[in-house]
Amino acid sequence: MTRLAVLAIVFLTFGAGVASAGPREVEERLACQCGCGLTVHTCNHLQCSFAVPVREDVAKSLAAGQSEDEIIARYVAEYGEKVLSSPTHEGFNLLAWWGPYGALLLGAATLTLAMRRIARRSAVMTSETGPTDTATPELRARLERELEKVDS
Amino acid sequence: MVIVGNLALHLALGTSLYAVFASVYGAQRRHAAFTASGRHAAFATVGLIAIASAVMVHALVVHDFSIKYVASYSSTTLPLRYRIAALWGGMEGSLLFWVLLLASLTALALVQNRDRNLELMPYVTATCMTVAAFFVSLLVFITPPFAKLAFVPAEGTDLNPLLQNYWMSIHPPSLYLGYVSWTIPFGFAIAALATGRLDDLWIRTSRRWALAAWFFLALGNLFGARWAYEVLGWGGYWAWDPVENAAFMPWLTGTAYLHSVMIQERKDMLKVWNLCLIILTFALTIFGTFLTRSGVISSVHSFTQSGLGPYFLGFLGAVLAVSIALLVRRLGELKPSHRLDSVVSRESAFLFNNLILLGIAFATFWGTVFPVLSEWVRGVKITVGPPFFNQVNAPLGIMLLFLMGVGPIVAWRRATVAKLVRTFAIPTSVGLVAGGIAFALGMRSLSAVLVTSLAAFVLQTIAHEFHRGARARMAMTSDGYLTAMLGLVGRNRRRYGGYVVHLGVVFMFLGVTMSSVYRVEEIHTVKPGASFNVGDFELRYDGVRDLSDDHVARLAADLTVHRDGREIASLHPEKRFYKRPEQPATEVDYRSTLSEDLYVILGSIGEDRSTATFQVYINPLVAWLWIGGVVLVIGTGICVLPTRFRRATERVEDTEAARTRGRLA
Repeated sequence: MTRLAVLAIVFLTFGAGVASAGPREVEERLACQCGCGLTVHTCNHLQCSFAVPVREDVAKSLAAGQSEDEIIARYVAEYGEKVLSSPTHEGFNLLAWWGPYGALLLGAATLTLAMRRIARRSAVMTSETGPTDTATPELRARLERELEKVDS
Repeated sequence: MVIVGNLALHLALGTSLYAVFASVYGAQRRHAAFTASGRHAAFATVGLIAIASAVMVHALVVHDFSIKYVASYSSTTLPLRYRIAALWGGMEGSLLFWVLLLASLTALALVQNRDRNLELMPYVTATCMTVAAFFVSLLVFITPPFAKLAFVPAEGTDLNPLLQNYWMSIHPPSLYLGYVSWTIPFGFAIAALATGRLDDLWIRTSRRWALAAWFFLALGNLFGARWAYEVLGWGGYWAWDPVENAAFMPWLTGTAYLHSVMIQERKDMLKVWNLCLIILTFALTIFGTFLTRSGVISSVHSFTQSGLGPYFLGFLGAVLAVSIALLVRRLGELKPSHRLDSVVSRESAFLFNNLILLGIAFATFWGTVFPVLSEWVRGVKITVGPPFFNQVNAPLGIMLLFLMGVGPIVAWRRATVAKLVRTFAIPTSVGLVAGGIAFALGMRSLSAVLVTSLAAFVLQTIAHEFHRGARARMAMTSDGYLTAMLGLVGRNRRRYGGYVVHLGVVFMFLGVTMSSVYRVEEIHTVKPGASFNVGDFELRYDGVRDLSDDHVARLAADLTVHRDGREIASLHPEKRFYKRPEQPATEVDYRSTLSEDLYVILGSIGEDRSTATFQVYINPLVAWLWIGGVVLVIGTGICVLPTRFRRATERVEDTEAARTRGRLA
């Protein structure tokens, strides 16, 4: 049984796994379709039925003079957009790329506006209610120094 | 035994539901006997779930293959430690384990607060037991863990070989602890909303719980990364898989929460924001469970995939609806009593830190769900893989690193330009010099130079904070430098523990950036006795050995590693073939040093064992990712250790609690 299993390893792994050294850039642009969630370059399945032949094909195609984009376009034509490891930079997919930054900018703008408003309101409240009208600049400076000590 | 397990689960459903009812009824009617009864029902739930879990573990240990779960996730040849770990290896078992942790933590929180916060505790009990009741009802009605097979197989299918690993034994428990622990601070937040005690009592009481939850989530993610690094064999540790993202998102929002509560405690601001953050964090833990178990988004973590998605989605909706309704009801009472003195202050630095953390969480969420959105809107399936997440999150991560340096040194309330220049002159110079040195040494990647520069900037600010504090203490106490430093940390555990955590995060940033940008990767096919070079290393392939046993067939390649003509290591990467279920696997081997890891995968073995193909990686500074993790553990430890001198406010709180107790009794 053990011998059979060892033979199975030899058989299953022969010529498989990591035999080809295709250019990393193209392989990284293609998503492996075996369910590993990785790119063709990083797929860790020993005899992956997708990544291994694609790596070989990429190497051959590059050697034959095909450009990276031509190879990618060929795979997209065959498998659809899902073969790309990242969304394209066009149409609806722009939302994927810019959505997070848009949300961040919106958040930053809201935050800045809100903080300004609160700071302004605080200043108004201080001038209306605070005893600072009677405070001398020396007293104010001393207050700042003392508060700084408390805060640090 | 099965009947005992089933009975325990059914009773646990009853006790958890009763705990919800009795706690709320008791609190509403100010009926102490009912709240006590609710508390006891929660304890009973722990006992019953513990019984059900013990029955399951016993069945796994004694190979009771009449139970479907045991037959599916264990075998007679599976080592004992993995038979026990099989409790969380499959869907039903992991749900049972989840509810065991939740009930236990609830009981711990109840014991901890038996004489305190009596006003809040019934609602904490009710919230935690509602969550427990939901999980138990899934176990009772939808996926019973003790379901029997029509026949008893002679052998089990066995645990997935990928899960038969040390790190996998500890990764899920720590991750689950992280997920589950967030229920407690969430419970306190709901209790604050329900009772109208909207000051920072709920935050102070649940602070250690939040820190523990954050810590375990961090640990769970790190253990998972370590497992991926050692087991999956692709030279990396994080693949932005949806389930990884699911655990990362609540950690990010939890980090934001831990920072912003400091402002509420200090300035009585951000009350609504903190409630929103804790609700969001808890909701994300449920969303994570939904992602793991629904199969809506394809993931490598399919071990626990099932048809439970709609139930989790429904529960998530209910959680959000109830929480938001309570929050909206109390909005009028949540006005800040303190004021913001200036937009340029530590308060605003903390707020921008919150913004970036939430930005990363949103980018991660967006990338995770975008394939579903695309299919919905365009009808086109797309993949959002690791390159997207790296590209989108890298700039945000760099901004976060910058703010990590800014936050601790910018003044509270108001920072003047002169003060800013004075404070930032040295750290900025240190950062620029470090970036310059990195560039002069040949570093040409913008992100690597930026991270090096910012890491130096942050490290300087941390070192300066410790130094400044120690000097101030020396002046006060006439202690020596080291004693003053220790005294400083001892008296301000939270602040200095936080700085230590920051130190750990800086190490992680360095490890992740350098190992991603400067990774070397080569493939070599060689005959026994032959050598090949990768970077500065010379590797000699000495041959292959058969290490098979009854459970697994193993072939190990022997490699001797030389550097500068000196033998420095021997590595033994393996190819494995598990017999049940029949599945091949790799076992990588690596030599780890502070400067780099030499990481070797045995790719394939020639037909007559005459050749072997190795995939070799040099991962620079990757050890600092794990060292950063250890530093993070130390920092969190410093934060949570009890301080010798309790704050006066806490003492006042206790007196108040004693009064409330008197009223209730």
